[in-house]
Amino acid sequence: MSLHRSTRQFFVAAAVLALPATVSAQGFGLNEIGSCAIARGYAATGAPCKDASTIYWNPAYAAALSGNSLVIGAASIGVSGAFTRDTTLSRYPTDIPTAYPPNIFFNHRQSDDFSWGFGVYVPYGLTSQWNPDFPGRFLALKASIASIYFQPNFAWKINDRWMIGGGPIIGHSSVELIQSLDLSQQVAEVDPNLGPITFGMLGIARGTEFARATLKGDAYSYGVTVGIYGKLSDHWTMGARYLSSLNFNYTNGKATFQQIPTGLVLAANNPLNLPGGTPVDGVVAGQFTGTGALVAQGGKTELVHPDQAEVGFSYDGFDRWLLSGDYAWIGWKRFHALDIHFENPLLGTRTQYEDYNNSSSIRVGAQYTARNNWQWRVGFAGVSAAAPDVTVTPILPDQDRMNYTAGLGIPLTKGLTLDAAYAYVWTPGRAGRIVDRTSRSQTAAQVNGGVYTLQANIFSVTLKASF
Amino acid sequence: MSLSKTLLRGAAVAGILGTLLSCKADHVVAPQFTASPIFKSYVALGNSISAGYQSGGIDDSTQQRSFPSLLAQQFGTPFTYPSLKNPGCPPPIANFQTGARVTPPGYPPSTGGSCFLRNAWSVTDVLNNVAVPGAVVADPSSPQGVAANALTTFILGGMTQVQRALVAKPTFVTVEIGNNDVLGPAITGQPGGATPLASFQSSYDQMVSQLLAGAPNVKGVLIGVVQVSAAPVLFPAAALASPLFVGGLSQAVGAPVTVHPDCLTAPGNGSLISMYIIPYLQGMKAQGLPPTIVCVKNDVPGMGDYLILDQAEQATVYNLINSYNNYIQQKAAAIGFAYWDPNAALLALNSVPGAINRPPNLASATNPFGTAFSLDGIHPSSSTDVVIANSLIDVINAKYGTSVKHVQ
Repeated sequence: MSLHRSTRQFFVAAAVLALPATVSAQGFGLNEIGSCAIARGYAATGAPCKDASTIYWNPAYAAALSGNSLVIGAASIGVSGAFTRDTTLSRYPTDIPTAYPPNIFFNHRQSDDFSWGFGVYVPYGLTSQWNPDFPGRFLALKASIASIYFQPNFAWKINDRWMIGGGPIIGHSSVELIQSLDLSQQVAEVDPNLGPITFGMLGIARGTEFARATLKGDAYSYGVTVGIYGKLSDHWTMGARYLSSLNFNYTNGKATFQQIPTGLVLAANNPLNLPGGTPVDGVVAGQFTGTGALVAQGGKTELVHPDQAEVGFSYDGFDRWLLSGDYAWIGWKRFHALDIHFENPLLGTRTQYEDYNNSSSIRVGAQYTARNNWQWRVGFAGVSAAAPDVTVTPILPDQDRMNYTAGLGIPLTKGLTLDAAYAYVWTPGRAGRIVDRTSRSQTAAQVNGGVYTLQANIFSVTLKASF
Repeated sequence: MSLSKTLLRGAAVAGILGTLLSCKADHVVAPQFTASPIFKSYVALGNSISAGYQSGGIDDSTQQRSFPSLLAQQFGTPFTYPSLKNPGCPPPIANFQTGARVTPPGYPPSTGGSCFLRNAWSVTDVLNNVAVPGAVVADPSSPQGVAANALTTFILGGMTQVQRALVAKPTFVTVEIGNNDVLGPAITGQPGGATPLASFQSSYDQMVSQLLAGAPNVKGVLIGVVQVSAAPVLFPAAALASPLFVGGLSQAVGAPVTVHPDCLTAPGNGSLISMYIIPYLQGMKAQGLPPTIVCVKNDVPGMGDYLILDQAEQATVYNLINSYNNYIQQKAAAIGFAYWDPNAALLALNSVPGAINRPPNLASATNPFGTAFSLDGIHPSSSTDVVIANSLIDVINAKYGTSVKHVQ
């Protein structure tokens, strides 16, 4: 063969590390904050629940609460799904552990017109995890984010009908990504005529896992939330809230690499000009030691948790009924690309193109208060996907979602109530990819290779005390 | 408030919610396989014929025309192959007379050692065509390769054929291996170099055992070995009686070719002569020797053996291949596979006008061996790949009760 030249000095041009690019997408976004709101289809901005969880849903309404209100709750979020590949029709199920995001809220009415309080909640925090044989593990074997917000809150009654509220947000976010590295995608050499020659072009199969990378990092960021709530008439109310974006700079990231045996053995007369019988693992071993590209090193990136805005209305003109509807908007449009910077110049900067769209959701809920003061709730939320067709990945196979919710509130004592809720999240399935998108010119038809399906079962309990 | 009003309002709420709930997005159904389940994952193991090698080269175009690609299309199953970037690895011969190979603009003339690598888009994890040109029966199960060449790595990337095949979780395979165990020895006139039957059986058994161990429920076809003596790369010595043919040879060699008289009488006129005699004669010319063809061993000391397959050697080759094929047929029966002997179909091509030129038409730059063979006189042309595919379809339909349609 005329391509006879030494290729022993191959280098890893770009390990395909990337943070969970869509971590702050709706798929990772959590609205499981307070069982009352969940059961009402998350339509709790125009008709907040009468407890301190309103600090999240509509910080203004905290001015309407009396005395002290304490809310402690948690949700159990079980997500399951699968990827079915177009070519082999093989189905790869997810392996996502159940998540239990907690929340705590406290509100104190200082005077007739003023309340203060705080909330600790998890607005982003899910894990995407796949089995080790998943062919998309080169994009993500595991992608995890946990972003917890601490929000002091202050609320005022402007007059008998209107109130405002808000407060600063102190956010802490930690991320973890475990990703397989594909030898076939690494550059073996650069030929003056043929350009970069990857190991794949020399015959190494795509999906030859020769390393596993783990990237961890955490960061703080700060933002603000504000809300307004008012009574439009005796039976109609409205509310709106805005949660600013939080820009997390993960500057202390740590990337580690573990060599994974390929078991490959080069045949004689191979284009690498190595003796027949040479183990491929020995060829790449040097990359994991000394000055190799795949030694432990620092990394940094930046991730925005975008702006959120929500407006809602409620009507309580039917005896014992409360009906509510919200519209929510998330400003994903600004999420164009994600840059990962590695300490080792051989890895350099890695860019993932995201090109998200703003997303919307419609939420409706109903609550019936029985004569024994039990509250029965039902709701629905329809959510549009933020990810475009070309960015449906194993990190987040984002897709339109339908949330069907129900729950009830049970008064235990005069000041103590137990809320419980269940939500089923249905998705229609969506074509997506398990390969990297290396250029914006690549279309969904070119990179997508199968269909993702997802569903979730959510249980939530909240204990509410007023005193 | 009365109970009826409460229920009425509850019904209204439920109605509104029901309307919303019914507004589901279009359901995207996961892909499903609609053809016969046994073809869900088809993998071809084998050698150059399965790989799509033609005219002494292989490229994306010839790969697409290989019989496994044709079968996969008829099966209605996805089929990935290790696409070799045009003009190939090596590029196929474009002109039989000059030996010129396909060369892209701006590049030096392609040779038998040129390689333009794999197409990056064809670097896949699942590979449905794992056949490797040049592979012998020991190769599909041998990590280092017995007859390994650069294409072994370009196609398999450090795995064996069986290992690479199992990645695809095959439900159906075609196994076409063994031609190279006897082809080289036959066309060099040295049949003693062929793989002995016992070794052949041992290697074949190992390959099948590994395959079944990794895919216990796989179905398929074991393909017999071609009677390589019938390939037009070997021409009958009797053709040397034709001054026209000898003139063509002389033109190809670049000097007058002398034909020893033993080529024109028995037993020499029953010998088969390899077309590789042309570079051999060119070598003689280069050494200042008169290019001479001798057809009987040692009629001229040191001549008449290399590149000459005499009648006894032809019988040896014929019988050995028959023994190979008997074993393959028994193996197929033992594991419940279909068996196909390609020789009847290839023999039938002799009766098709223009299909096989034997001796070759040396005056033709693009069709020396007939329409059934490519420019190397060994590998089938695309039309013969269709014949092979259709013959296999008949065998498969008969064995597995399927109704796969012929390639048109």
